[in-house]
Amino acid sequence: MLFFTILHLTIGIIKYEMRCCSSSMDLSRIGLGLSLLALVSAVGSIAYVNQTLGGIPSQLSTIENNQKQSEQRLAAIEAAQKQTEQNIRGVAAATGVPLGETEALQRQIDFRKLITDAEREGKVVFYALSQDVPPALAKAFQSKYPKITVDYLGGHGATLAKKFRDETSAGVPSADVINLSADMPPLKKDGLLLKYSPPEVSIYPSELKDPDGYYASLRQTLTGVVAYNTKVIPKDQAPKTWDDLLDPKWKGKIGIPDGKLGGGNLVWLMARYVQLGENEATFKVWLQRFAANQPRIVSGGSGNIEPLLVVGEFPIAIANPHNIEQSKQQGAPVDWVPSIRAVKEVYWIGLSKTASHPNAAKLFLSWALGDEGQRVLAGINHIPSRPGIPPELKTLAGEGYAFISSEYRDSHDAQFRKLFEDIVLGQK
Amino acid sequence: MLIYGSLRASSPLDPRGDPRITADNYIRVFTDPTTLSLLQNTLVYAVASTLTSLLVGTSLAWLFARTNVGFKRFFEIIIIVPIMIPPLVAAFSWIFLLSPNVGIINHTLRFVLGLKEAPLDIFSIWGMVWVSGLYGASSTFLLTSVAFNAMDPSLEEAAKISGSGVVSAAARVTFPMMAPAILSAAVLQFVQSAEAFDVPAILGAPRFLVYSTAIRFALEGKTTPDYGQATAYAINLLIITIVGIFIYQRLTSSSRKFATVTGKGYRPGLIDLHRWKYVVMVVIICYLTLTVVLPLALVLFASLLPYYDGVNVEALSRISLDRYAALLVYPNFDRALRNTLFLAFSVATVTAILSAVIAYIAVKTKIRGRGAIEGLATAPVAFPAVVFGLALVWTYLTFKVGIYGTIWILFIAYVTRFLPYGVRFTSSNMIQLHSDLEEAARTSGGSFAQVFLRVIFPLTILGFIAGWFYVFIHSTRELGASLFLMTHGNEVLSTVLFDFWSFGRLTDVAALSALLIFIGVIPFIFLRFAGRRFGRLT
Repeated sequence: MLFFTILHLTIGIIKYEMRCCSSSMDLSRIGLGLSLLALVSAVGSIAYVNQTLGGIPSQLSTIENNQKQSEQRLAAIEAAQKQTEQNIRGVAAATGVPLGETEALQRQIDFRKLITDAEREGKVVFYALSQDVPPALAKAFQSKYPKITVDYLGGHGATLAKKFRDETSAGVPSADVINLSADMPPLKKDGLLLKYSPPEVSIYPSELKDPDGYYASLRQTLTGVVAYNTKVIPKDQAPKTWDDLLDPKWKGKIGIPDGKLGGGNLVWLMARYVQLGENEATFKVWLQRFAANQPRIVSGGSGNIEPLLVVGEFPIAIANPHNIEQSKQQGAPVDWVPSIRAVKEVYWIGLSKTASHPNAAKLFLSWALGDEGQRVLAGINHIPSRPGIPPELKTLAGEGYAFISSEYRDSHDAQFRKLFEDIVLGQK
Repeated sequence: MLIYGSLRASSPLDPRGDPRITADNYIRVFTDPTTLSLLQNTLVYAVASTLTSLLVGTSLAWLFARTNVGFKRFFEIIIIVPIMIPPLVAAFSWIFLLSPNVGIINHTLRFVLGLKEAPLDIFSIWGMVWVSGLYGASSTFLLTSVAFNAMDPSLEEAAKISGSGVVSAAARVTFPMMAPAILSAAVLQFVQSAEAFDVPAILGAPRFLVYSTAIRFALEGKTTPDYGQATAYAINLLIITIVGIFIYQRLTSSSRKFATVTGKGYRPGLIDLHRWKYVVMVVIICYLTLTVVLPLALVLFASLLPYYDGVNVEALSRISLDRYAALLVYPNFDRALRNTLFLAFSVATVTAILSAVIAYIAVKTKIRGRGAIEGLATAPVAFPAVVFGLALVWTYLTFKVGIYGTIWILFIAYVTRFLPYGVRFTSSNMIQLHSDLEEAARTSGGSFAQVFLRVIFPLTILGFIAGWFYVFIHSTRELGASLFLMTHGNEVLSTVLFDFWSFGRLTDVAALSALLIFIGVIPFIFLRFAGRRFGRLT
């Protein structure tokens, strides 16, 4: 903005000078004008920097204020809840209807109120770490609640979480509902999430929900499986175990993601490490042998690996089965090896503490974690989290996957990055 | 904001972060042994691709503007196409042509020459230079052909009368006269390849890193982005580019030397190549087929398929327009298309006008500090898009002026980012104008506005149009800054493209690229036509 103001000023002054001295072209006056301008911009820049530096304590106090406010609100809500419980007991006693039934009725009343409030808000903003999940959920949700539009943003890893963080801490409108994997626990730690655990979550197993009720698993996904090009390698000759990948016949024929980028590109190695009993020596030996087979390191994520696998630049690759299944359905010559059990990742869903549409957000989250939302996800080849709803693809349901938690990923990131750089990248 | 960020120990937006101002990031960057190799890699890559694009781009521009080669209009369109292909897609289409295992050209060469090993490997520094050099050749062509067209050919004729041949006249008269335009193109190309991300990331990483890839990895590679290191790298890159721009300004400071459009009337005569004409045309056709038509055909071919598994007969049976149909129903696609079109037109127009004014001030007036204005307008070119986007996000989230999350933040980002390019286009053209023209107009009583609108503007319209077009194209594909600035509601086509990309939907990417090329070709054809008419009128 500053830059534009200066530009605008410059042009303005020059035009003015030009008009008044066009007959004599008095250059010294133009010079004077410009030095004035330089002075203005210098003062401007100093003010700019000062404001930046000065802005931070005030932001800090805003955040503290916000926190205080939400604590107060939380206390009010808890008090109201207690009140409601007493009321229900009172109603049960007065009408003679059993307590359980009264509670169920009360839930229905609450839910109806939630719907009216949500419809009054008319909109919910959903950020999700996926390309196909948000439109599919939005479409189904909107057809059930036509008065509420779902506006969404699909994004990728650190970028989406960063956007959410920046937006909420700056106080500009952001997501009401957010769906992330490993980036979710840090959001809770930094107090950016709203505690909300709808009745739907009660039947979820404990590993698929936050013990404090801040988020629950929307879906799970498998990563780091071994995929192959069926045109190059017939099914019976495809590798069956991790050790099959060490066979010298695959030298230079395995595409792997660039572990230097960390994050999701290292989880398959972490899974292998866990499988080998977290024994660093054994793992290093395996990795060295794997590296001796000169895998092709592909920069970026699955977006760069899969097209090269399909075209046959390398016939084997570490990939994500959801994407492989999608390509397979379109007829592409690829498949993956279910016997090599890789990693199951959890994608959490939670509410923003500063949600601009809190009721619509609650309704959307309850619906997505309920029967209907979960079936929508199963229909697009994801692994639903709700007990009793199996994935439509049988191969995806398999047990025995390594579970690499977000915390494990975080704490082992540096170690694996170094192992990757030293052993895999070090291999010439 | 950027310098401040590089000095901070943590993200400037995180008020609870460590607020200390520290030089640690610089110490870390300068003492890291990989910094030297980064510097070396960046320079080798940027210089080599600049030279490639200059060599190819200017010779093509000279041939088309100054000789009687045939089918010029048709060729011109084809030469421009590469800048319309998003760099990400260009890099990938070259993988399919030149990769060691499935590259079509490699296959053909192996078959024809009877080789065992693939003769060429795209995953190398030379692959990177090749792709970005060819890419740059198109921009260089666009920039220099304007200057060649506006040149007074009488000097060339004089050289010929004094006995020099076509080649030596070109080498000793034409090209030196074109120095400002060629240098402009060189600076642009140098800076662009120094900051380009896609090509080095896809073809060079992880073994061959340059500053831009190192910056992105510092931001994305770790669970908590290392803003300090990224910005410190960015400042290094800034220094490299500023040195480049400074050298350029020194070289073109005596602009009168290059003024070849004077008040004297001239008739642009073309050089007759005689029998060489056909040889040259065959060379041009071969070159264009190899470098433009093949990758373009590959993109179009892939856009018709459900998946790309090489060029083969079976693939032909799967051809359909499904990918395009899928695009139309893709959620939020209409919004992204509207945003992109709006931005491209408005940004191109505003940038072209602003840069004409800036170029005029910098080139034609004697105002003190004019260099500073040009420098200020040129500075944003030195910021890698990613860092630029980041700096804007920080700025607009710190000072809430209500444009975050709207299309206007993208508008400001694009104008700031592309202004330097616009200025390069118009100023290299303006340097050619001799000041007798405006002095004549002014002595006859014309005001500043009149002189500018009625003398300068019509004479530099070709540069203006070329600049408009260049900015238009770049606005349709800008990704680096857009990724950081967009949120729900201000999506653009390039971010949709990136979505497809990161989920491996290659053929959707191809279909969207085809659409982007189409969006770019239409105004180009129109402008070339309009430009020619204008050129004749003046």
